Amino acid sequence: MKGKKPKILTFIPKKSTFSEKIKILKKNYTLKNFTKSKDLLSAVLFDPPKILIYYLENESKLKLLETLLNLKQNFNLVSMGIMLIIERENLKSLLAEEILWKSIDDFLFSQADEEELMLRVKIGLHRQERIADNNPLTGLPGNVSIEHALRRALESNELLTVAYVDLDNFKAYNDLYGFSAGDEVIKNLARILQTTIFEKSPKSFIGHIGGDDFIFIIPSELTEEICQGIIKKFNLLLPAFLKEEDLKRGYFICKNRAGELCKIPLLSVSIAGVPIKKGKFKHPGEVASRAAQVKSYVKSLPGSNYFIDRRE
Amino acid sequence: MSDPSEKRKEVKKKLRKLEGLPSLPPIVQKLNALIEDERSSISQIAELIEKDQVITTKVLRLANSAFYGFPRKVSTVQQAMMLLGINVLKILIMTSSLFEIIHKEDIGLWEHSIGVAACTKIMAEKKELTDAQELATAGLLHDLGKVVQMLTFKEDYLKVKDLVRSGMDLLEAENIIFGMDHAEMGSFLMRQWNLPEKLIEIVYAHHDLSRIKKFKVETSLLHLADLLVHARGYGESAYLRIPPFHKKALEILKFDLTDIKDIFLKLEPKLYELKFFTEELKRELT
Repeated sequence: MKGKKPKILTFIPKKSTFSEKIKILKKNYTLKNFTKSKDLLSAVLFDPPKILIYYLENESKLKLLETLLNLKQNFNLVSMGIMLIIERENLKSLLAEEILWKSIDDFLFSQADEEELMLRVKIGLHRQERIADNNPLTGLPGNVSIEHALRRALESNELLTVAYVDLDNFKAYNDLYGFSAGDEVIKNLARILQTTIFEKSPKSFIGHIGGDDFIFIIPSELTEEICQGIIKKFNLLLPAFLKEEDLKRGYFICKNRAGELCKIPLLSVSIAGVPIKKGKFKHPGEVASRAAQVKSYVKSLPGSNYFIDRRE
Repeated sequence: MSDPSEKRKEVKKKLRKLEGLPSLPPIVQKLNALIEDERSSISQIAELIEKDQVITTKVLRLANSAFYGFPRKVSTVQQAMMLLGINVLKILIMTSSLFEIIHKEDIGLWEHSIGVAACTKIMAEKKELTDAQELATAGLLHDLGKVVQMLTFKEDYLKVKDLVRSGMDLLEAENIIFGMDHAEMGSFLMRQWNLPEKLIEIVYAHHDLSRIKKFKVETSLLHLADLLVHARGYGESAYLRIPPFHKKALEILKFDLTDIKDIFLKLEPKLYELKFFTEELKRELT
């Protein structure tokens, strides 16, 4: 292992036998143990580890774990693996905790020996590194998951809307401010989508198609509210990403292909919504092409806008 | 008394390790209630957070953390909340530690800070600056160094107070006791926590305009706001009367006496409004 030792946070009560066993990890990792929930949450927020080892000694510790799992899902903490330590005799009563088994990355019985512990942590770290489909920039699901989500949506009995999001004049921004500034805008757009959508509808899907293209699938009755929320937040944050002079002037100045200076409007966000009813579309590709038509209309409007396709 | 340069190293070491600061219990309670209430809007929550230096720095620190990909850009609570979302904010507030004992004069420092925040905002709007809210944040945080002194260097903080009472200039006293002044201390911590460069510079230079590198108008604004709030006698800080004033600030801002009068006119009702809030909190504290 080169460079710094990977960081592992643990939540293990001092008196438990496991707190002795865990020390074996010190050889290869930086370990930090917490016994207070406040301190653990604070550490996870401000300085997330590669792996969190959580000792679920009894049911009273479930609530904190749930908070952590929610944080992992909603706050771009997919890169943090959560490993659960449980008592063999508690397994039966824990089996019904669906949320647990859906979101943790691994579990181990407290009776496990040191070698097993070492190996599980090692495997866990590698697995974290190859969470393949998620977009590395935003941590959001990528194209394979998007395809699955779309297929599920097409067959759903619920009234859902598929929305495509992208930025206007993003190329000009990238040219003027550089790629790393562009990446920051994309990450922030992802955050805006996550906070707006998950707050209204925690089970909705958000995917990152690539570049400045995103997709989300939400219950149709929330479409207007969510689109307005996204645009409002984007406009509020925009000044943080623009230089004073561009902001004051109200447009970018760029060179076009012929080398002439021209005015380009500032960054804005466009959202094209396509409501889907069961049987309306057969293939995800059909939704995408319908969305492309709507998108070209939205993008012809100045500033940030959304438009929902009302055709049957 | 120990050697200031040694002390300086020691202070910096301690600041690097500082994980967080305690908040005022009534504010945390109010925040929890506000967040739980589905009718409350983001701007209501932001407005309350903006009355507490500690929660404000916490929110900004998280929003500016490199890990989440928005480094050093987010300088208002409102913007930070857009990125963090209510759920994360809830957790963040859960992690707040609370003041156990609080003294009346300590509340004074906190009142002074929200007064300066209000005044900075009024002046920024008068100058038609686009970043009035950002400057209000700088106003709120300008004495963060003193908050830290009070909470983590209590003994030394009292020594400074004694020196000031015996007639010494505040910054000089701080330099003797800490090897640095509160402006540097606050900005050091803000840099540690990845807050935007603009906020850091304004706070760093708010008593000494020669420290300005880039933000002349903004820093002068805070410098003058600090003076005006002292002169008005709102809240308390370590200064017994008013802090030393660089006249240059007036030139940079192109303000004359009429402008100052106009600012006072706008400031007064705002302070009155804030007073209601702070008095209520004080009652809850005692």
